[in-house]
Amino acid sequence: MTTMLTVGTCSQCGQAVPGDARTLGLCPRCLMRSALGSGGIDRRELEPPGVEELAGVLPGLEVIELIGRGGMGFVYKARQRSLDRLVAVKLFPRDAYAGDPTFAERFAQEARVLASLNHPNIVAAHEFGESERYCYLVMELVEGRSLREWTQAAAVTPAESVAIARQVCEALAYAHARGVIHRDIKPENILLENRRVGAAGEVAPRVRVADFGLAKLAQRKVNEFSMTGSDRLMGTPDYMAPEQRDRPGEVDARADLYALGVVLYEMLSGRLPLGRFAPPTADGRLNRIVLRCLEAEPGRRFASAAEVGREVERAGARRPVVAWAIAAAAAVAIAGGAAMIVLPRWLGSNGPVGSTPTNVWIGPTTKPMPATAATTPSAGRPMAVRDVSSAPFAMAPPWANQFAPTIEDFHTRMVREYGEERIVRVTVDELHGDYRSFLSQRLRELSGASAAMSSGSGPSVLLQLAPVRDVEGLAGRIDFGTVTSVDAIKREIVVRADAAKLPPPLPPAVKTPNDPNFYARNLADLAVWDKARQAEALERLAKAEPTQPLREPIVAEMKRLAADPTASLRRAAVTGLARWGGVGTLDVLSGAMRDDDASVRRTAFEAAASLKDARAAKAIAGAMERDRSAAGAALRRMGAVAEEAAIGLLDSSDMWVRLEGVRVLEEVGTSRSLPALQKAARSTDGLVKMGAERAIKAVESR
Amino acid sequence: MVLTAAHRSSPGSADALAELCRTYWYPIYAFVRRQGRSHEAAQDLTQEFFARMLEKRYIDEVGPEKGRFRTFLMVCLKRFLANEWDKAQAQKRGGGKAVLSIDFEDADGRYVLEPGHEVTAQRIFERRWALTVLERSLASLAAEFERSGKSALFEALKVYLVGEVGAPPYEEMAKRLGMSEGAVKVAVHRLREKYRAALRAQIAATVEREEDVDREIEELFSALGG
Repeated sequence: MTTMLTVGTCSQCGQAVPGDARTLGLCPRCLMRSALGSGGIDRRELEPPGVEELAGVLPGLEVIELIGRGGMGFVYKARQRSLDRLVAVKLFPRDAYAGDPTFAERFAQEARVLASLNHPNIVAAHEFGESERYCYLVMELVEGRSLREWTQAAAVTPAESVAIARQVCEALAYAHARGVIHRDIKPENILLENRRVGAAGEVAPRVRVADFGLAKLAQRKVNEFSMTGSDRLMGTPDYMAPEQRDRPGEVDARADLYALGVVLYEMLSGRLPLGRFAPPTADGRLNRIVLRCLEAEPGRRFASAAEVGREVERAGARRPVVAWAIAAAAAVAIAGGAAMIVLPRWLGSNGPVGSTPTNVWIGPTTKPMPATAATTPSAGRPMAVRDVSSAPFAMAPPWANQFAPTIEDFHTRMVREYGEERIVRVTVDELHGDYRSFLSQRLRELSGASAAMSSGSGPSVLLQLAPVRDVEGLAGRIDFGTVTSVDAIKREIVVRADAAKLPPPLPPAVKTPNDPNFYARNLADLAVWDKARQAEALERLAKAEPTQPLREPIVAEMKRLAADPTASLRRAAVTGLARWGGVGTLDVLSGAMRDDDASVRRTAFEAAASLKDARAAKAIAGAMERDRSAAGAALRRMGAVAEEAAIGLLDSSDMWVRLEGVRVLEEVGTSRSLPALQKAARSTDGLVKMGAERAIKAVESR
Repeated sequence: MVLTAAHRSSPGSADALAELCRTYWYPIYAFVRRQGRSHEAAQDLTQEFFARMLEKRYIDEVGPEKGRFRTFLMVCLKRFLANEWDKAQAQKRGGGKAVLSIDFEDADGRYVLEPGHEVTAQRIFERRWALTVLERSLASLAAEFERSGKSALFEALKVYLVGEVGAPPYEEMAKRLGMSEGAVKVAVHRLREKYRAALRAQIAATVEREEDVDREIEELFSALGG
């Protein structure tokens, strides 16, 4: 029997209001219930007015069709009769801003500013006006698509990224010089024309930045309406500078530079810089630019868009040679198993960890290396590992800075976790070839250490292991060379490698898919002793065309690697398998959906979803209990093909699984789902019932 | 949506994490208590747990998939308790020097009010969490009305936050407040919107993505016995 004190009965639901709830005497259940679905369909949604509805409403304009909808208004293609030209009309329904009496006035003000901007990389505003129900802005019609659409269709090359960023910088520099801040730089607002810019051979399309300053208009009211239905309360903060989130009224031009940094990061890496993120590329110069744009503190960013533009242009003009660095990063990632750690956003992630390329490669006497200071943004600031006293990275070249954040964090973590007194440093000299991953694995086996990281290049490699107590004992067990010195106090071992005791050196990797040996050599790489090589080969094959005489052995190798003890290999193998083996590999994918490693599970769900096959959907649904949200997201992404599997979920005995099924059907369901949904709508579980009702509505409206 | 914190290695992020811990300490305390520990032991363990959290021993191990602060905290807490951080250990390491100023004063008194034994520690944690979210949201809402000098209006209208059944008819409320019935309806509508926004903002600080907010509301609703 519960012994719950109560302070009365809720007039709404008739249940007792618990006495330990400090909710002003209000019933907690009903309070929470009243917020259910508040982000979704219960909020006011505005439908875009139809073309007929607009006939005659906007003077001088003949509205042709709706071409876009955003968080603030709707965009139509229209013909301006007087000049017989096509234009874009951005329509702001006054209803949506009804609670904001100053909207019309501010709109006019912003529109005037916008119309005053005249630059080849900015979408020109021709005129603006107001009617009884709308404020509207007549703009130049850009024939092309947004950067968002562009990146969704195909990956952007680094050269294209540079060319696009450079043009955005020009637009920003021009506007900033006139005191206009964009406030909402994101891929949706960066339009790319169909025609290309510059001389023949230039790679990128011409950029037109849209919506300068308009975000300001939405700031007050954006919380109270939604035009897209998917526009949630707080908008998309992904591109927003930290200070803009906190104090939107006080931003300056540097907020745009932050947003540009996010866009650039996304173009280069295909991901958003969330949590503790890795550098976006292997190009140190570009990384430095991006990371400096992403500084949480505005004062540490570049001073102007023009400066960013110059840096980007210089970076684009130079061809980086960075193979070593990529290999080093891979070695760190694999040796440590978790060297690149992504933090969830609620831990605070407005900027990257180590987002300043602090130089952690410190000389043996803890004296900073003479940095590449002249070009390093961190020039003038002390170069030191933040809270770690040791100076382990004696031999790395200064340009290896680009991986400093990753390596630094990993080392910091190692010291924190184990303490200096349990770390041992092993230097291996006279190596012929890249043996980092072999050495870190072998040394872990010999020492029982759970963490290892390697650094350095060429014939000498430094490995750090932890926890290791007995330095001399480890030295005695080393079997891949001759130990030349052991220092139990400094905890250092130096080894001269013996080629005869190391695995055979590997031939260079074949990286270009049109090389005649590409498939055979990468297949061979899948079975080598070097885990970094294996991972790289998997990634290359996963991207390559799978129609090949070698398909069968490649699939077989991938299946084998899908059970490798190293999670990063399992992850890469799963992606490759879906592409190469199709539904024939569903059994392996199903296993991976239940992997202990969450990233492997997620990859497996995504890989299965990419098959767009009902059997794959069934497999995903079958693994639902392992990772509900990842499985649900995968099913939703599959669309109609997932319907049958989702219907099946409604029979689950687990309420949350049923709820997930209902959610999937809300997006992918057709009339076939209706009987099952109607049954779910009679469920005694409030959430399932509500979800089913919502899904029925969605299905019926399709 | 996201904490105002700067990145992890800056002082700002520690503040943000500390703030989250300060907000949600009671669910943790209640969970530890439910595991059969005394008020003092639970107090020490809670402090010690936060000390370790703030030292970021756990943070490195969390991946993006653990997108919600609530579930993350629970995972960390279970791991922490499983590692036998008994009272002696807690005192040796963190006892005495508190890292967070947490008001444990009335914790024990509050705990007595917790529902009885058949409710598991996990359920208590979730329920307490849901209540904390509501308490915080209401407090920020009340503060907002107070700032604009409308405390009396809030006091009168708050009953409508849970619904209209059993609440005074608008007509009556209008007379009582000397407002028109229409104006009362508008005020109630705005109050509800503000309340939802406050609640969502409260939750948004603890989840990874905006779309997780709705899911979290559902789970918290369920945790309250909804």
